[in-house]
Amino acid sequence: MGSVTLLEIRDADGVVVGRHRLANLPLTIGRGSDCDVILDDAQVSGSHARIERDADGAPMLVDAGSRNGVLALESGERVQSLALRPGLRARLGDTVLVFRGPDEVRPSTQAVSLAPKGAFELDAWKAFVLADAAVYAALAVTLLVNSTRPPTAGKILGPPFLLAALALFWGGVWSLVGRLIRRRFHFWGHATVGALGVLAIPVLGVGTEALGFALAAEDAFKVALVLLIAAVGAAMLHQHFRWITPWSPARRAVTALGVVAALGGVAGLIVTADHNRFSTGLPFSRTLEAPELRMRQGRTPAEFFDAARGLDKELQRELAKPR
Amino acid sequence: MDAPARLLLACVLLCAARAGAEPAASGVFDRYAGRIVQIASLEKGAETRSSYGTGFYVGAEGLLATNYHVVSDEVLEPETHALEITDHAGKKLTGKVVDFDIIHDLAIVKTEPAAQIFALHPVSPAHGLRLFSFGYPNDLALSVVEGTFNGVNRMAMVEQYHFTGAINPGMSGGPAVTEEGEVVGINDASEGNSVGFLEPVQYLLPLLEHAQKSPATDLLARARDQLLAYQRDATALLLRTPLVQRELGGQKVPGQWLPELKCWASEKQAKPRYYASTSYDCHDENRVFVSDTQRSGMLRYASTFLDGRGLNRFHFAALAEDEFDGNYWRIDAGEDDVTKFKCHTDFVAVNGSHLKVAFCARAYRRLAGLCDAVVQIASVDGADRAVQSTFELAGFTVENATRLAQRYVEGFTWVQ
Repeated sequence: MGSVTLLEIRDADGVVVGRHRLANLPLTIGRGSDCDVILDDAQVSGSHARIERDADGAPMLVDAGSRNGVLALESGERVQSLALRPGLRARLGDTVLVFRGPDEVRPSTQAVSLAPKGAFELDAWKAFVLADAAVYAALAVTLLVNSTRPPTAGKILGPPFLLAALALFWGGVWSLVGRLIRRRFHFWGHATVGALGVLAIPVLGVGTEALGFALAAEDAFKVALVLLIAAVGAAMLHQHFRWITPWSPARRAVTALGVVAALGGVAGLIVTADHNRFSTGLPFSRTLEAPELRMRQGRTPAEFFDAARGLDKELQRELAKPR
Repeated sequence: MDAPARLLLACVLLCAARAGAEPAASGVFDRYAGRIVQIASLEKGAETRSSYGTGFYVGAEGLLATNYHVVSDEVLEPETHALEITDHAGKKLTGKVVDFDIIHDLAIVKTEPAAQIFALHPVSPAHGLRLFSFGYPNDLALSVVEGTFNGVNRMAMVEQYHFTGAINPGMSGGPAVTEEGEVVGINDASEGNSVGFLEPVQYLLPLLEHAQKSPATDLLARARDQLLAYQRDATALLLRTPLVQRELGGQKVPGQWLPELKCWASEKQAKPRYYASTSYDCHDENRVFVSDTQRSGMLRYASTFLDGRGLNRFHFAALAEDEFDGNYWRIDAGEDDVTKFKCHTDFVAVNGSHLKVAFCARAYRRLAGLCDAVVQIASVDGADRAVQSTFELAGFTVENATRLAQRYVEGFTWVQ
């Protein structure tokens, strides 16, 4: 393994913004003007890291007590120190440090994506168009399944147009936030994620409704729908956070789940309050689908009404509730 | 004689005839007014009247007869309500409910003894008999209304007398008597346009006897026992009567279960013509008054055949979903009377038909063991035709409601 002689500095989009020769160690790295290598990155601490030699004289990258830490890019984990070798990549805030040896081919200045290899690139107008087309298709199916009469042109064209506009607006808001926080703009990415979120609602809604009818288990599938929509919401946030924060995947996931759980909790409180209110309505699912969708075999009347006797216990519980 | 003169003569003759009849009504009033009182239900603390009606002396010990619905607050919420009785002389008296018959809407109230009372005898009035109905209409002074006995209105479980005469709110609980002072019935309800209903006096006789021998102490338990007995008899009657089927849009649905039920058929064409529907509806006219907000002792069912030929299966399913439970009547009951509904839903296969069935019930809060039950039914056999139905019972045990609902569901057959 050759020695490390060059420090290459890249921004989060992978563009090389500078190179620094590693001659006189130790070397301080940070946002502060007293550092040897000054990084123009709001996520980097004033004095973020040092490059120094260990007892055996091998060069190390060491966290100098930074707020956001030093991340080994390969593992995504926050580390206290890293032994330097050619090709090693470390992340400080939104900046990526690449260490190079003297015998390495002269590195190109071509941008290298930070996204894991093989991942579908969402941040492209093509991705948005694809997602939006899927929204159109899903809405067309929903319209066919749920309306009682042939749809009008307004019904066919209106909702998808509105939803596309909504996804674009959604992308715009997140891009603006990204621009403010990280000075970068992932408009098509945010809009695509928005469109995929919009897509989830009719797909999951029609799917769970049809399955609920088919198996005569509408209540269970209503719960499933809520959980699935929460999962989609968390996945969307996770992806948006990727572009507007320097957070590790784990932190993004925890935060996204936290936000969804908090929103779910508030919604749950509202629904529970509503549920406890007195009503003379009949709380059963009116869902009816084409006869072919029925998968569950019908009970005999005797079996059905035997099972219905369980209602007596439920009513006793209802009577026992404090009012 | 020219026309105006003839008219004048006719009027003179008619007016003379009316004048000849008048002493009867005024005589009746003078003779019996002293036996009649106004009964008001007071909210304790506020001392405001929450309802008022009429009562009349039937027992030497100061026993008054009235309607249960006049004194229901005293039965259901004795800690917050009291009775205030005002006799014909304007004297205020206190009173206490000692017995009642919730099914026939009758009650006996004990107050201070009166000088004169109505003697009760079982009577079988002749059709067209002239009756005088007493009461305090709309909280006005004691009034007498002349009318006619027009036969018996038979319902599934009870009977009422049909009285042609203006019974107005406030007259409830007053007596309808013959010229000789024989009580024929007790004013109970009005459908407007002089169509009134009386509770026959023969239901009052055993009640009075019972009240004299053993006054009820736990009034709520008595109401509950009466409703339980009523639904037990109704269930037995329905279960021993075969439920005939009836054709509806080529399919078979439950028909007229009892001869006393009122059944109707109707057709509807949606505009624009996406589908047609034919409905069949049966109900018992009886309603048992429990509280201002709650009625009980009811049976009602209705079926609709939907014909959407021309719609594709998806549009028809969406239409059927919209129509599902469109037949449902809300059974009157408030938050203090009942819990919310709980439902059990599944597919049921019966007579070649696949039905989506929801059986829903809600429990009575004050009258333990009773419930209202509703069955909602939709067939899932045809791509563009369907039968939907509702079956509603008020004031049954869950067990009996379940047995009757099962019999009802078995009354459907899908004809290909």
